[in-house]
Amino acid sequence: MAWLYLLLVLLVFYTPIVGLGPSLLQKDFEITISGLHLPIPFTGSLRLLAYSLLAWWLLWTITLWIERRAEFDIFYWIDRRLSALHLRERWIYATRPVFSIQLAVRLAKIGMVISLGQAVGALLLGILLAVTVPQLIQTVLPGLIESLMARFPGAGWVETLVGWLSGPLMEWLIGPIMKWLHNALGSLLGPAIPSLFAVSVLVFVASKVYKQEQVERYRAGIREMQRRRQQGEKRPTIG
Amino acid sequence: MSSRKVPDTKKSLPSADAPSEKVFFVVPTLVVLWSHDQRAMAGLREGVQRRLAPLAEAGALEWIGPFSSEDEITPEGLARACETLLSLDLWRRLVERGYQPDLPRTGSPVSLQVVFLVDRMGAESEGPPLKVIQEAQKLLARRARLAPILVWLGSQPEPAPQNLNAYWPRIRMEPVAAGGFAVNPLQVLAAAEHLLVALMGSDFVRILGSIVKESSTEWIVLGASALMLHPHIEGWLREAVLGEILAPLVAPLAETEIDRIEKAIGERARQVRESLLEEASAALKESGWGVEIEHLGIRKCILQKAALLEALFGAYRGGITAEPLSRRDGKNWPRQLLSLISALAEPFFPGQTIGETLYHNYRELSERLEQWLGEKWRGLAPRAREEYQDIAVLLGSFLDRGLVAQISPEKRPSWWFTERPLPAGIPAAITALLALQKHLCEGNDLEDARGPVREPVRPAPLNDDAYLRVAGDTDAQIVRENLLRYAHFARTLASPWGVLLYLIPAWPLGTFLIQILVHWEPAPAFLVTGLALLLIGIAELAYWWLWKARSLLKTVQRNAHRALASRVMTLTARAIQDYRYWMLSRLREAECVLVDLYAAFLQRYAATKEPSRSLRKVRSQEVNGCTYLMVHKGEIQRWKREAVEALQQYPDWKGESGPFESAITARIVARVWPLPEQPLPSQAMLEELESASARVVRECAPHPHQYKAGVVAEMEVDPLKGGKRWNWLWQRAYPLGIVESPGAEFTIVMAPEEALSGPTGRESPYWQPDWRAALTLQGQEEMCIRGIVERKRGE
Repeated sequence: MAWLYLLLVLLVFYTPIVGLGPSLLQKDFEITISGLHLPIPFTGSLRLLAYSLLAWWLLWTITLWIERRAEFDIFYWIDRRLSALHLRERWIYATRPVFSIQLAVRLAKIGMVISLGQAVGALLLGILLAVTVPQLIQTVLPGLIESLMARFPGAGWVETLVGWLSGPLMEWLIGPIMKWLHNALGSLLGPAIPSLFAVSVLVFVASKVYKQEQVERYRAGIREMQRRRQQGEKRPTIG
Repeated sequence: MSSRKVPDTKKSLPSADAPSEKVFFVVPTLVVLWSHDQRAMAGLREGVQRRLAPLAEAGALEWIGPFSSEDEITPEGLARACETLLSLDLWRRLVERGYQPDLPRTGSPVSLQVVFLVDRMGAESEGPPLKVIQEAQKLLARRARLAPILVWLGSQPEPAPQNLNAYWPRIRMEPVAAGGFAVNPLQVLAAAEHLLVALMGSDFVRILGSIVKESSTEWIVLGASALMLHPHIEGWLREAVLGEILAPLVAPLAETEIDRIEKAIGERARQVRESLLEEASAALKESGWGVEIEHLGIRKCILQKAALLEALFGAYRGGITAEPLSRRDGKNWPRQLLSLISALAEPFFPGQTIGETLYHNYRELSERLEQWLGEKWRGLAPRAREEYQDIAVLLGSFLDRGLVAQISPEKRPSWWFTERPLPAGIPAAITALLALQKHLCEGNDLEDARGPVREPVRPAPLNDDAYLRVAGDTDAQIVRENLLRYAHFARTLASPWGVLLYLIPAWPLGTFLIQILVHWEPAPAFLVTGLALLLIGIAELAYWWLWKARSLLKTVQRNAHRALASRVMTLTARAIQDYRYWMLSRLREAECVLVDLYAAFLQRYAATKEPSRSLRKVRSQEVNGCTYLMVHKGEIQRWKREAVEALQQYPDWKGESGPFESAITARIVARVWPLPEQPLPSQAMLEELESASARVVRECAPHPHQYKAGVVAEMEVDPLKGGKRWNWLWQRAYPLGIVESPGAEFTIVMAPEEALSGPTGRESPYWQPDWRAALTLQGQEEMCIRGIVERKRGE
């Protein structure tokens, strides 16, 4: 059921265009400082992830609880009703085709890696854009020019160097570098990254749980089969 | 002696000197032997019996003794011995054969001759009870009149025995001649033999009676000589003929010939196995197993019973029939695909009863291969029997090539008629038998040629009902295990729905990844991802289901079916082995029969060598001082050649079973092997052969007028030519005994009439006018008896 509920949650939250995902992604958590509402970036995706995980977990847990309480296996029931599907044999217990079965999980792992990598990259770029380069322009380079002029007054090469630092370098940092950093950060902070991260985490978690559920259901199935076989056996009687 | 004179008969022989009385009649004679020397008496008896064979065969000659004490000889015993000569049947026989003119007149007693031969030459024994004949006469009373004759071998008894005068004639022969010469006792015995022949087979007694007066005679001292054909010629000839007939049959084989036979028979043994396999393949087809055979190998063995295949493997049987999906079938193509997918998706598992089903199939197969049904075997049995008969006839052809004609043209071996035909004879037949047994014992009946490497098929250890039941259960388990292997595999394969469920989460993930990595818009990324996932799912499903699963299903079906086919082949091999063993047991029996026959023939052939050698070496010669044995070499050669040819063409045997080359081998083939069900024992066969040999030798014997001692003497023996034989006879018949009161001397010659006529007969200068001639039965002999009368003392 973990996987089926994953499908349901994906359908509800992550279907492109029509899913609830985009709307939730835009709702970042906000903090209020001196009456000013400041959104915390990327918390929308965390919210989406949290909601979807919660929904999935609640659905799975409740179903599992009901099944245990009612001593009822929903897949037996489905297989009886829709015998052509053979859900248990042809889906839960199946291990082949390996690539197709593992594709979603592998994509989830790739997605997590990419999304986390992009998050780290965005953080680094943000630091460069917001702190490092402005500090270089505003503080480090002027300080350097002053100290050079003070230590080597009248030197020709100093004048040339200072001219290059205050001229072309400063313009390069203020112009192309800052623009490139801004663009790179923009591309890393695209709208698909949070969704990818949330879906990847959800699929990954669900697959882990589903694997465990597979094992348990398999064992339960064997126990049930043994129980039925024992019931069908004729025991020898004495006397 | 008393013989009745009657008109001439066919068998009576004429006499030369009594035209009016040229007949004499045989009187049944009892010879009483009295001697310590059993061996000498046996030889004497054998010689007389041989020379008087017609009389002996008619029963007119009886012997008792030799006795050596008075207790052994009694009047009652003598009377009992005479009883056989008083048989009405005997007398009728004698009349029929002309030895007697008629039965004795009613009321008159039958005349019998009793010769009391007393041998006193060796160890001294008590005197013979001569009175016993008179006492026996009393016991026989009026039934018979006994005419006692005494023949005394040895010196004159002193005093004269009692009742001596009751005997007439009283003849004495001593190992001392009349002139005082010492004589070998063997000569005395030989003279005694001639005398006995003269007493029983000639008119000698009557002639003697006309010469010698009984009342004045104490003893008659006699000497006898004979000119006779060699007595062993016929026996040696029989042996020589037998030897010539047996020689090619028992001739040993050279190693090269044995190799040739083995090679040729090896080919035939392989044909037998192939024939049995061919018949077995028909039985397999009847039982629902389609087979293709190539020599001794089974190239294909496929179960073709649809119901059994359905029960074992379900609807899809791609691993067994190997029918590829065909697009050419048009409408069938989708149906076939659906059928395949259905079979792949829902693994077939046979029911619990397939063990029983397989058992029934195996039993049916086993019954078709070898079952006793309604008093006859079906399956391989008729073919095995037919093959055995064919090879038996083929092997029999080693005895007689005429049997080859009985082999059907398609099975007739071409190598038989090559430039160097295989050898014939019993050793060749035995070699062929042994070679066939060897080739049928070695090698495999069946080879599994389904794979790239031909492997021998080991026969099933048993083929009874219990084994077949266990085999059915075992093979059912093999089928189950193989199909279970596929079922286990198929259980790990997801269905399209399952794959879809697994792939759905990859759809948004893929979409987002494409958006991030390729910076596509959501909609095209979503569509492309979906399409890609669909293709991936379909491709992988097709790979696993239609390629891997189908391949595995085929493999397990093939393996299971292979196990079943292997079982069928082991059962087939078992059946072929059983019938091969049956053939081997029959061949073994035949071998025993032939080896037994070979041993008997070989032994007999070895026994013929000495007589044959004797026949080659024998010449006319004088023996034991008073006998000249005549041998007509040219006549014997002709006799032998004709006898051998006659035996080889013996009509009683040769016409029995078709166009055989030799009557002997025809007889062996018909009575010993391979045609008869109950073979004649080798000794019986040998006796038949000896009897036939004796018969043809007798039938091919020279004409009686050509083959006579006198004729041979005139033709072959120079010292006896031109009537000199009379002189030789007279000289060698020198009276044996010293006569105290000599009386008249006489010479009686017993020879056939034609021997007495002409320039070499009475007209010969060697013939004395005072000699008397007696009628004789012995047409091939000439005898002379000289005697001196010893007068009674005081006269």
